[in-house]
Amino acid sequence: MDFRDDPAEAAFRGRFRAWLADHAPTGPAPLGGEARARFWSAWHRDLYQGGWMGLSWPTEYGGQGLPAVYEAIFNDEIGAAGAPPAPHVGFLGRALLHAGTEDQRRRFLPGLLSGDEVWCQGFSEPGAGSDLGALATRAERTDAGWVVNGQKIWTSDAAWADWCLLLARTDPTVPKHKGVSALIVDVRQPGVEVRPIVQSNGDREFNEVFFTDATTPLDHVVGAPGDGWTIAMTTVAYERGPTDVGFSSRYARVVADLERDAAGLDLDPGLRLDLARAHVQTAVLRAHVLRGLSARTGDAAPGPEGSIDKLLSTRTEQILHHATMDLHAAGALQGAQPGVVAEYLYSRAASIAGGTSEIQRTIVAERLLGLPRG
Amino acid sequence: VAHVALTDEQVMLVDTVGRIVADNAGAEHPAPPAEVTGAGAGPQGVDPDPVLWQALVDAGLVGIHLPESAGGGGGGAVEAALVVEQLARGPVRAPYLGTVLALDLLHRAGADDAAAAPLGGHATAITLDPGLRAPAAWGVAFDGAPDGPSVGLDADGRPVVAASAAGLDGFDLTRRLAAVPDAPTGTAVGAPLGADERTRWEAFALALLSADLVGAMHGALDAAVAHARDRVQFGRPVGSFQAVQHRCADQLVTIESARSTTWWAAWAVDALPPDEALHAARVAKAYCSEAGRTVCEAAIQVWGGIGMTWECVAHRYLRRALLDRQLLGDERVHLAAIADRQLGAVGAGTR
Repeated sequence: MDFRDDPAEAAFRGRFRAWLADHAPTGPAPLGGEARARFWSAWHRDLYQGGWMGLSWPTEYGGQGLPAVYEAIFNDEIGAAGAPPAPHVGFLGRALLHAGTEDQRRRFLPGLLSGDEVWCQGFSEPGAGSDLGALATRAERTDAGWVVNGQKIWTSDAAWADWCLLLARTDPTVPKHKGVSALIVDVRQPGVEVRPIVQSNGDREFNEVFFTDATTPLDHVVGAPGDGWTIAMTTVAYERGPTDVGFSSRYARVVADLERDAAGLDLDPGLRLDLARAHVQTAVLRAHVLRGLSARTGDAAPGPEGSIDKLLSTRTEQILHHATMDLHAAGALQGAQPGVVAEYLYSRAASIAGGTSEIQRTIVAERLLGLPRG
Repeated sequence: VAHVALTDEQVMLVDTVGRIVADNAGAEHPAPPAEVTGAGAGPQGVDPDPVLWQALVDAGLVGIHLPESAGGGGGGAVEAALVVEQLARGPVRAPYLGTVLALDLLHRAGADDAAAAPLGGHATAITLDPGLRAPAAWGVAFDGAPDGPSVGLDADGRPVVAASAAGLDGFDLTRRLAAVPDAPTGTAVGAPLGADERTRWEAFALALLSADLVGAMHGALDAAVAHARDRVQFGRPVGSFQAVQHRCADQLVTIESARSTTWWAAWAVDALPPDEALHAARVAKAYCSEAGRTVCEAAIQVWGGIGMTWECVAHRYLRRALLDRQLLGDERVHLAAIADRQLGAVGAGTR
């Protein structure tokens, strides 16, 4: 048992840390609009040109062919540096690597990796959030291609995306999870309209996306028609482990900043304990995600344990932002700490996005504890 | 980035201890008090189970973390923590934790000779001050046997071997507490512990107490979940109700994260500089102490009315967890120490 890097990992970490010191953007990402798009695009291209994208992808598609732990170290260092999170290409890449055709991989993976083409993920709908299987966006097969009608919501990055990996119902005659297909759809066509959603913290990360007789070629289905659900569920979980390591180092940095702000202040004793609790919780998350990462050997698909990790990560983020809000309370409420307030409000998304905490608890109860289905 | 999985040998160790616990299950539940005299089972109720203890000795588990040159098993704190966790998960009446803490203290003082007898199979308690905060020359003997010695520390930091006196009617039903009188009856052995050794011993002790809490928590949840699968109300197993499911799921999140943190702390005892090892151990003990009460109380809630009965296992886990929580400082003690380390001491405020 060792909670540290092996020598090769440590060397890689050192190289990436040095690169980040020179290249990571400083200051927060702009909220919404063209500036936000430019910011993220530039960050993505910088990482790619530095040779840091697709570390665990096969070399024939532009990857580095390294073991998955290098993705974890990559995310770990980005979090520790307080750099913007890495572009979310992992899940999309997995979907194409696992289920795509050779033509699809050669056509789409290089642009996904380099940032030359921006992708979004069209899963949730107004009527299909936690009950994603109830999705109602339809894709009809015609001789000319698929014709898509419906609406997606909470679609990150859609406002400047080129492509969408879309879950759509292609067969309404079979049980709900079986009639879903994964389609690659051009977002920049007249039948697709994107409307940004203004979040409670002012950001415009998410969008509504409307499809009105939008089209895509027949060979833009990933896997067989009807496989969409399975592809989405098996590939989405892959990215959890490495991403969680990144969260843990990002939270550790937030805690360190918090402690720096608090050091030397005459604090209420209760607040001191709360700050110590935030420190403890963050260290606990780190120990746990490192153990979880070690438990995932080779290329095995992650199991329901990922739901424990997500619940723990959520707990940590929310405890942490209670602490930052409490430390800065008076100033934050008078408008002196916009960053603290924005981060706090955003922390409430942790228990909602990517599967609500209620959904995660049901998975833990039924699949890990073996309690009978409700 | 980290290599935290158990080795094959460690997995075998867990299996071995689990088998010993299973083979001795059922014999360890004390009779209820004959009359209402207090909340404990009376001092006789918590004497160790001699058969189980002998099984642990025979399997070479006592002193497993000590070097082979000192007659130990050549493992480390991680191995000791794995054993402790399984025994607490039982829960069983075996004075393993107290004995291991005592042996470790003697070893760090270069007094392995004094440990020869315990390694031969005699349970040894650890002497703590009456507040159960730190090793002391007199006070309370934790987790020994009626005829066994208790090892503490005198004011100079030298180990003191004393005979314990009358058993106490302790709250925990699985580990013995006894009085160690403050008359100078003990014998000082070995050299005074240096600061680093003292720190490492404390880290070791906090990591093992955390492991005990993890075991108690997981045992409590396992039993409650088994009950929730079987118990039918409204025509369905109660474990199919979301309110029950989600309560149980939250406890598992706490337990698994507590286990990860405890492994980290146990690994750190031998791998990191003393101050960092102690910090990791404080993190684990703070987290597990707070979690122990929460999880064991949640388990009682899942049991419903049965959870309030003497025969139900739930209170034995709760009792064990609450004693673990107090030993060497509860979460407040360690959170305060962590705050001092990270923020500076109280009263040092300059702004």
